[in-house]
Amino acid sequence: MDLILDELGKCYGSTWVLKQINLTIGSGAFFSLLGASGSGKTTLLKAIAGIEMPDQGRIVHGETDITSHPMEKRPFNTVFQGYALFPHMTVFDNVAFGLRVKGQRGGVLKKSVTEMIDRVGLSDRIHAFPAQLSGGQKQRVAIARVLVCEPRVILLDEPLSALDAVLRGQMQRFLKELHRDLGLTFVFVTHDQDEAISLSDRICILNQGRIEQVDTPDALYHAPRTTFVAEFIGLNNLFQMDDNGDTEFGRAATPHSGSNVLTIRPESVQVGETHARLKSRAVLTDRRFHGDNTLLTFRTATGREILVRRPGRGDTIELGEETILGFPDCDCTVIPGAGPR
Amino acid sequence: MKPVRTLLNIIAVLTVFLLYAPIFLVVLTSFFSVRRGKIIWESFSFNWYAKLFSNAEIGAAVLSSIKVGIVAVTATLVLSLAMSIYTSRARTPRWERTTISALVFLPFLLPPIITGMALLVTMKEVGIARGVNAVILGHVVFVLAIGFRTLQTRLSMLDPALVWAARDLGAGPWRCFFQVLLPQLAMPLATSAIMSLAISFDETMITLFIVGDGMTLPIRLYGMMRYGFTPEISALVTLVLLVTAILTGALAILYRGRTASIAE
Amino acid sequence: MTAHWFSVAIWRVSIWAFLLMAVLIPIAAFLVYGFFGVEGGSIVHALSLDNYVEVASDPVYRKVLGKTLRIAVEVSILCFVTGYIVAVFINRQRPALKYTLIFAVAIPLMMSYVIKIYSMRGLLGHTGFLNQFLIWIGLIDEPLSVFLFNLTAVRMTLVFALVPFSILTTFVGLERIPDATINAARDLGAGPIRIFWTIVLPLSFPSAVVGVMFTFVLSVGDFLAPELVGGVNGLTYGRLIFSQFGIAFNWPLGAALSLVLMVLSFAVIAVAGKLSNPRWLRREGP
Repeated sequence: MDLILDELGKCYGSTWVLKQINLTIGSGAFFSLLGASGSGKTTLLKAIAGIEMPDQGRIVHGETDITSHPMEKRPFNTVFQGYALFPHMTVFDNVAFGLRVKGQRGGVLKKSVTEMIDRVGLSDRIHAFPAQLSGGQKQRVAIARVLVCEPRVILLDEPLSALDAVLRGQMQRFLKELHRDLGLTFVFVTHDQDEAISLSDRICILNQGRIEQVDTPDALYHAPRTTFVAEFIGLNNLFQMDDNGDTEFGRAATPHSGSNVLTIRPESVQVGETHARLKSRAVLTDRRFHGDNTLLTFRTATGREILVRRPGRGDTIELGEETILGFPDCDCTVIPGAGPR
Repeated sequence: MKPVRTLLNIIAVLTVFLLYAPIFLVVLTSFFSVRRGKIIWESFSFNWYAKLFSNAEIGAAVLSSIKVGIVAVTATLVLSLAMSIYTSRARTPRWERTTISALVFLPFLLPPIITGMALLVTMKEVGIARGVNAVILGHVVFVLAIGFRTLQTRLSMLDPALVWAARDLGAGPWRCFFQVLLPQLAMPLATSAIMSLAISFDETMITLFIVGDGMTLPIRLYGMMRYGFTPEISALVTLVLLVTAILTGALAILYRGRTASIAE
Repeated sequence: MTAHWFSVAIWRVSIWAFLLMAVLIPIAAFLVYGFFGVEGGSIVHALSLDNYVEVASDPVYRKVLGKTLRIAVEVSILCFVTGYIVAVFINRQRPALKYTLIFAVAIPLMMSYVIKIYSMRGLLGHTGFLNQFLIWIGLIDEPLSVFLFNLTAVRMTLVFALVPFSILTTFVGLERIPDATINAARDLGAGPIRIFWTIVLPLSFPSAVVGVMFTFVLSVGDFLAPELVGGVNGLTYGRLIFSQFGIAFNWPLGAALSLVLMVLSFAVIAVAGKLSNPRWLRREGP
């Protein structure tokens, strides 16, 4: 059953924190809402969960309009930021909470709860209180607590943001496996683009309460449709292009009407020798080593900075040395209709 | 610098000492006879207490103090729960929050004489007789601020997602309240119960206006004190202090190991 | 959804009904009472300005108010200074002792005010311990009766009863100052006096001022201490008001006199409220 958001809007006072949100979240997808803080991603999640009531539009699950359903009636469950475990209940009681609400008792309850706790690997902490658990363990309890209710959709609000890098990696793998095994819809809110790109089937990028683009991670990276997305996902170089396809570095292959922006990823820029039509001389001003690659910053005579990523230690160019940079047509992406920046 | 610091330290220690010394001396005199201001050490006895216990008036005062305390504290807890949760709700308008807390704190912040008199004139006009019931109402109005404040502080520190999580898992409002919210409020509820009980047990100024013939213990004490400093009064004082000590002891046990939060 | 809306409405109405009956109406009633009169031992429910005219024109009231204000200011200042001395001392102790001490300071707040007054009588009276002590060290031969039943005894009693407020609030303020802040000042070369005046005092004052507010409001309106240890000269404003509800039986005049007290208290509470919430404590934004 797909989850459809139709012209959703939410305002606080006179400011619209969500505007014209139209989304279809396919059944069984790992779907991410990605944006900076204040972009509206958490508000959108709260609207789906039923914590916030939208001021406009509809939320439809399958055939049912659930816009006015209170959160306890929605077939979704949420893993909250900061977990929101009940501090006065043990791991068992936390996980059992939802089933007890549904009226389950006795052996059946015990069986499903212990199985679920086992599944998230916490059998030995079943009688511990949340305060006695590590961050990763709390996270697992929070996930078990919603999974045991067998929801159709699981909403995750920045679930990994409180964990350190190593644990994050482990939990990401755990979530991915869980998603594959269960085949449920995951709606995942994050501000971390690497996390979103590596986990999701589809990503919705939000900016100031509006949707910028909804696409696969690959498409977002290689075919951004707005300058915001082009700059938000990964590093990028953006050049202004006029009606005739002219940029400051020459004429691009495919002219579009209107003012456009041409983008090229740092790893696609050619250094030294080039047959590209677009090219420029530039001076190396900075070099940052990242282990498997090196990020170089060049500056053209007009003062524009160009980022270049080279594998390994990069080229043997000295700081302050001048060279030629090429921008091959096939690696350039045009964002149509993006006005002058 | 050094001598100044020493002097300040001496003042500090002396102040803490002086907070207790006069009271300690009163307790002492309840066990001894005093002649011309001198304690006669040979006269140690519980005579004054025996005399106290045979005093029917004091017995009645103790009973009405206990009655007032229990009813007032129960009412205070219920009211402050209702008010603090109501003001913590995200949907409660801002003006309502500020007005409710202003009205709750007002009787606590104003000089007690004003609160007492305002209640007195209202009760006279409305036709509520002075007495135990009037005192209960007076104590609730005065002590409400403590329960409200304590619960509100705890509620503001509570993660709202806790209630969302419960509702998300299907719990209705009552289950949310009894199984999730109330357990989180157990400590502040106990704290405010003890503190309100202590205050209600000692309250004199407001009570004096509305007590009539009800006579709580502090009022009886006040009446007796007008006639001087006697071992019998000291014995009564000691008993009242004992109750306070038990209540503070309870508070200390409650907060064992986390004394820091008491100061708030 | 409708049932829920309905129960919230009941909840809301009950809260407001209680506040209306128990707080708003009493305050309003007391404000109106100041305009009533008394004749032949009963209240006359006719509005007039007589009481306020009397309060404003009779110099006795002004004199008593002035005297009372002075006492309240003196007591507040004394409590404020002592509060800092004690709170700084306590805050410097190692944690276990620190919290024991602050608990010890808090306990007297739970003790009955009447009992505290009574102990001061035991201390200061003719046959009191102070006299015994002075005779014992040979400073005097006969017990003195100058200690009790005057305004000094009232001041001492008030400070004795109210100083825990200022110690506690000051301590809360001091405790919130991170060690790193003090160390940063020391690192920049500030000595202890400068650190106190430029760092510790400004950072803890918003909290300490709440204690000053309590000591002032409670001492300006007090009538128990003047009544019990003030003697014949101990006529304070609070006692004046209280007497209108006793032998004098002039409730309306008492209410009119109290209005002055209430305005004063509001002013002090408002100023304290401002001082306890300086701009650097407020978060940016709406």
